[in-house]
Amino acid sequence: MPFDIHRLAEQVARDKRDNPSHYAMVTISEGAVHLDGDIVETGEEDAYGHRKLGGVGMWAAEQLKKLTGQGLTYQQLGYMMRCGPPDALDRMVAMNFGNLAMDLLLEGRTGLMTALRDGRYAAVDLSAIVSGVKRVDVARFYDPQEYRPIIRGVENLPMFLR
Amino acid sequence: MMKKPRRIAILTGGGDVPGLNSAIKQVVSRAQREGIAVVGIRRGWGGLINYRPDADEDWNRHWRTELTWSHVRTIDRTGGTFLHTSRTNPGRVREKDMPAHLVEPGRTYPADLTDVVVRNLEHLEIDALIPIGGDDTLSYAARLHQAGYPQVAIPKTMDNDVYGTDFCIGFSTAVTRSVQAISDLRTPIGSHERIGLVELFGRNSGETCLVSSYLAHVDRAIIS
Repeated sequence: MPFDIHRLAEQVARDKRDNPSHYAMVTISEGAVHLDGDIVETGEEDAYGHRKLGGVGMWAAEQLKKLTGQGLTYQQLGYMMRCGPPDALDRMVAMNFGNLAMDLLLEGRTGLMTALRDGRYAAVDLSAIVSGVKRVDVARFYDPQEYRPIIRGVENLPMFLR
Repeated sequence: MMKKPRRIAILTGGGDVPGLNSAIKQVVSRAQREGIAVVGIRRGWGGLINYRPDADEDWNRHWRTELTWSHVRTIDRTGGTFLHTSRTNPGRVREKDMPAHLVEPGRTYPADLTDVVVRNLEHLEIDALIPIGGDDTLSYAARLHQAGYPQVAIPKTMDNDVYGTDFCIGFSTAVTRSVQAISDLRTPIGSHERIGLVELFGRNSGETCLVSSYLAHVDRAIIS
């Protein structure tokens, strides 16, 4: 979903002014696309036809600085997000996916993928992977005007909002 | 339905994430208790096109390794994958990625090396395979499934965008690290009264950015 840098600049300038500590914090996904722009990719395609994303943040940083006239610090987290050992949740799911894979093989069930569905461990068809695309339910969890997550009405939703 | 396997293989493909070693260790631990041998395929699907039935151990040890409890005992103390990884897609191998021993005159590219993968799995006497990967790596698992090879796949990706599961290994740590980094960055950005702009990985799904932004309570979030 394309974003408008001018609208974002106005909102962020207001956020910073209204914050008693006089700063504002903004995140941007590497795959974000500006209204007038294309997705920012670099390097050559890998064997799956994907190039490296990243760089839209640098562009947005320069624009925000110019449009707001405010000081700005840009930080790309990149690989720091997947460095080091797993947290407890990743460790638990990794171990249980390993366990489940062995359960299935011992039962002679193959052609499957281990999964979590509605908070429960499950086995789904391996061919399911190529049968759809998993995307954020933007209409439900994100306000594309205010550029903010809107999470509410969570009763009976799965732990991993979907 | 296949009978109980005697020998299985495991591989990790695509970007590394924290938790891969934990999954490998658990598989080996369970398999050993059941009397099932485990082979670790090294460098993702790359191991299965570079392994050569006619080559000596000096070559093949780079592409596969026997896995026992003593090999995996300590691997879960670190992230990443001790089997190494690659973005190799045996269904679409480019000319520059073609293993030298498979180069033939008249071959067209990208080449489908699924016959090589199956032949090597059979030579290694693998009854079933556990590929761990994101949607790219597992899309080839689906291709291999069509070719009739028994598999149980495990989804991983910090983007959490594998269709069919609510959660992939690596997503939680990616969010944890992002929330921590955003919170930490509040000190220099607050001190200098600036705007902080943090770019997050997350390919095209936007979920990592959405959830991290929600949990870190940022002012604005631009998701993909």
